[in-house]
Amino acid sequence: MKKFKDYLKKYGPRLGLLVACAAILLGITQGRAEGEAIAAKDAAASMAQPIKQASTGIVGWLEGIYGYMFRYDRLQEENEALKVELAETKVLLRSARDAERENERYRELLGLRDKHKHLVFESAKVIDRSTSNWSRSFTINKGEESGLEVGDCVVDSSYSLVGQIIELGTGWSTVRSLVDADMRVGVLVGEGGAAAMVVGDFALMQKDRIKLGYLTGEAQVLKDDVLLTSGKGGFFPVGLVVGTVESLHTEAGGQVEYAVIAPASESGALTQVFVIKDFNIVE
Amino acid sequence: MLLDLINIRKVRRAIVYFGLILAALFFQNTILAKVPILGVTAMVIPCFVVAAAFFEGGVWGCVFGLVLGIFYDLSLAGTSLLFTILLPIIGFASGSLVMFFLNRRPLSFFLVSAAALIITAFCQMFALLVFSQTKVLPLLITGALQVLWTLPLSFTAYYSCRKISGLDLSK
Repeated sequence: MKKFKDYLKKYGPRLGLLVACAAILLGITQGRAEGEAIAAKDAAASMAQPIKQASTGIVGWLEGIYGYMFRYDRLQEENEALKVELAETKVLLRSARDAERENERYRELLGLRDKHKHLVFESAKVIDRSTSNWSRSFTINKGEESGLEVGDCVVDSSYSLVGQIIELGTGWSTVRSLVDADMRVGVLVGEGGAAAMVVGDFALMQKDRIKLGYLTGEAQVLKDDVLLTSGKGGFFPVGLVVGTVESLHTEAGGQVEYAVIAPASESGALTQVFVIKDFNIVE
Repeated sequence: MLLDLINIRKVRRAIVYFGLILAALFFQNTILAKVPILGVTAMVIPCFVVAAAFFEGGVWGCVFGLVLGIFYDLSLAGTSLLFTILLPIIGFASGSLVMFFLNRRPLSFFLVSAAALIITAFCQMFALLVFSQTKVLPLLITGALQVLWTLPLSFTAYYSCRKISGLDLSK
């Protein structure tokens, strides 16, 4: 026991000092700028990027082979279903064009300002996914050199919200996923467009779900209601699809209502995303 | 002259352990992270620190933990210092234990690894528990699954460090 105490006395303080110095140094450099990666982290991430891209490519290639070998029939069925959906969409598009022209005429008649949505996109590839069980994030292959900023929102090809950039480097950015426990998004819900808040929940995060909370008394939420971003706060443009109401619950005590939301985007399966660098919306 | 001052054996061993750090990071971030079971992935990093400390002692364990901790923190999103601080402590503590109280057999390693993994899981859930006011049960389940999935894999760390150290446990 004495030897053990002597050993602790001899090495404990020295090693403690070494660890403290390293932690302080790393802490100071990390605290330099909110969201902007430190030089060491930036260099490490940039060096690891080719490896990440290669491993993602190999995994994608193997999944493709697996899909071709074992999911061929299902893919063929899906292809047929998509062809039908495409034909239906074309019919809808034609009627939408007619409606748009009619709408324009009415606008001119009433002298209303033109309603438009201008979004500036940056296409990016997902090169890595979160390795932690305690958060959900992923890395994309575009960074500050592409004009991205911390807080920019990320969507998929169908304008569904995927997440938000939380950290930037050269040639890479970290995106906090929509289902992460720290995510907060203002949304409009129901036919009346009542304002509410989508918040990440740790228990739901494991099931890739989010929670709709802060419901006001007059808000009527029904199953299968679609949630759209409210645009409040300035980070998210209005009208992005967040998800649909999967189930409704009441918290213990029965006073507070909340809903479980299935996100519209499948962030776990995405390979291509779009960062909204800038937006200008006139409603 | 200068070469006489350098202990080549130690330098060579340090290089090999640095290679092990890179291998551990690759194993954790590229392979294990892509295999979630019930939504939870294994977390083998602390086991490598315990294994290094088991065969090289507390001081080497601490330094190994510090370097691995810095690299692992850099590889994670956000600005956490958790592993930079926690892994050297785990390395020094497990190295000290094995130098004075425990043998280097797989069972001892298994027990110390389990303790290290439980401490790591607790530290990881601490911020969520305190600052995000997350419910305790989901956190405990995630932590328990993380420990459970990692324990069978911990022996990859044990046998790789045993091989590097060249220690013959049969004597």
